[in-house]
Amino acid sequence: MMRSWGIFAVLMVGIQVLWSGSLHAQSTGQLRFRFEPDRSMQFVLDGKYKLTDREITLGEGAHRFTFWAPERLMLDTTLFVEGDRTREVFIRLRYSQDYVDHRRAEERYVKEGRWGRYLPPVVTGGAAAWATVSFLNYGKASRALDDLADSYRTSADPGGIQRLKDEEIPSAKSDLRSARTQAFVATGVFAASAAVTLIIRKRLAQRTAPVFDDKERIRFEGLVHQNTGVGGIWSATFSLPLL
Amino acid sequence: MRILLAFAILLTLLSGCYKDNVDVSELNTNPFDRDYAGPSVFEFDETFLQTVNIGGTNVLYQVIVFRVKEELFLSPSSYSVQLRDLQNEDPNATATPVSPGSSLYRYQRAPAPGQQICLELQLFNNQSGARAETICATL
Repeated sequence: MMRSWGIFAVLMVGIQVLWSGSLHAQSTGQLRFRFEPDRSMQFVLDGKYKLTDREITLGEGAHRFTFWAPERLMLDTTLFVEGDRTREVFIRLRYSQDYVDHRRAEERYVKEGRWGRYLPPVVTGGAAAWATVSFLNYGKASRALDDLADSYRTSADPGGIQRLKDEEIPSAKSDLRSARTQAFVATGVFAASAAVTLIIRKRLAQRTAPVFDDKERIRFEGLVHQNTGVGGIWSATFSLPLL
Repeated sequence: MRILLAFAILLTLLSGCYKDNVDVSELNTNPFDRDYAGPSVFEFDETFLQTVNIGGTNVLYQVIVFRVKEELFLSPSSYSVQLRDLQNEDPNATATPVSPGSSLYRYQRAPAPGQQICLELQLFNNQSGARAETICATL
């Protein structure tokens, strides 16, 4: 019995010596990251650990990195760590197409809001001014014709009366027709622009701002081991497109 | 915005208030108008013989008196009367008021007893005449 225990102890010591020897034989190297964007960059190391470190010490050899930052496209790459060396790595992530599309939608939303808020009232104000001026001109033309009709009644100048009838009154009637047409058109444009402004205001109020759904984040966070310092947890997320 | 819309509707409604009520073809009520279509402005009053002493010589004239119906004027107006004697075509024929401010006018010519004398009369102002009317008188 004592002999078997002795053999077991010798084996265990041998294994311990061998294992520690192999550990000491594997050298390590460092990776020093510079990121763009710098603050929000995260990465997953070897498909297991989600980290945000800017400097990392790893065993020599190839390591798989998955870099991601909010609004950016994920970058899946393999970096080689050389023993006893520090390597500078610059990682720049492109904006994701979804984010680019979202930004465009957002710009369109803001632009539409700005135009919708300011342009229709300006057009309506202009149309109101035009309608008012046209209406005043219409009244003036009407009064001018009435004045000429009064002149006919008070005039004692046969030549003047003839001029009134042949030239001045027909000209004033023509002016009145033009002024009336313009007043109706201007008032119509004014009413239409006021109505359109109301409709646009209503539609603007009913709009919803575009919301950015970062699908890259969902991909990144899917099936990632989060290093908690005490063991670790596995998490999985999925998205279900409803539309 | 609703106020603007109401304002637009109000303007549209008010636009209907101005109307073109003047019809040139119906403007014929002023006696100074060449197209005057009302009753006669001149009215024969009387004709008689009158002896006028010119340089110690008695000259006999036929006087024709006519009246301008000023009540037909649309507004009080000053005027003169242009006269044409259709019988003798005298270019110097003139009508003068019987008294200043009177609506009665007289015309004197060589007597023509038993002959109808017709005068073409026009209201005249600013080098232009109104509708011509004819009155006739027989001594």
